[in-house]
Amino acid sequence: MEKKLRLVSSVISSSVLAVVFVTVITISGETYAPLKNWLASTFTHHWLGKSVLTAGVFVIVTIILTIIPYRETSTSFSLGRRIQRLNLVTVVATAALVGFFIYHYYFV
Amino acid sequence: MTTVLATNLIAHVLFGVVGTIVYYMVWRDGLKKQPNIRWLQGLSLTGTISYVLAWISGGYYYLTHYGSTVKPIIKAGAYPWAHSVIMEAKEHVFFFLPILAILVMLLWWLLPNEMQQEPKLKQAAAGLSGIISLVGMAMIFSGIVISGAVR
Repeated sequence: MEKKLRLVSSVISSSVLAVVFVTVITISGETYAPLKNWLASTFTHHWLGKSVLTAGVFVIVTIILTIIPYRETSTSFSLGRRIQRLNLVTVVATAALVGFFIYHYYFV
Repeated sequence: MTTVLATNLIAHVLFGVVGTIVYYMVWRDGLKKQPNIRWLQGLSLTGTISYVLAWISGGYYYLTHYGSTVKPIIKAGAYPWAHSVIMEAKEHVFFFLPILAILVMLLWWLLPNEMQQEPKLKQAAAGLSGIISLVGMAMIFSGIVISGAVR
């Protein structure tokens, strides 16, 4: 059971990181052209670069958090609280991306 | 547009719609007092696979056709915001869906007893399924707006 709790706990953490990563790299890429150009030149297209890096962040962070030795202290109650925080992060990130593109189109 | 691209676009739409409908069902049925675990495991697996396939098929269409052919038409037309706001937001917010769907699927597959016994966990997972479903609906609506802006 501890292994299953640890895997789910790791995926919650990597999900939060992936959601924040997408938001940060997207807004940064739109406001700092060299970053978007680097993504486009390295991965042939900036969107493909974001896809690969987002999947990479999600998978690598999950693997690292799952295999590093530590005593898992998560309970089903604490997982619920962390998922609630993930829900909040996702709503804020979605609003930030939509708000950013509205701002970028109408005011920049 | 070639037949391969058209098929790819249709597949993207279908996978996205299936994923969204299925995650609405995961949201609705996950809130029941006695949820049917096998049913929710099957739904969450189906929804997750659908979103991953929507990511791959949509990505192929976006990279090989949309940017070079559709985007310039929209930007030169009467509704340039359909690309600059709607499509830009859609193509980035979409990244959240497969990732969050994998988490919900793992919850129902790895922790079925905890999902039944711990109300906090069940409610949080249902909330996450609801967010996936609502964002998916926004994706579908965005796709309709973008398609309309090309005509």
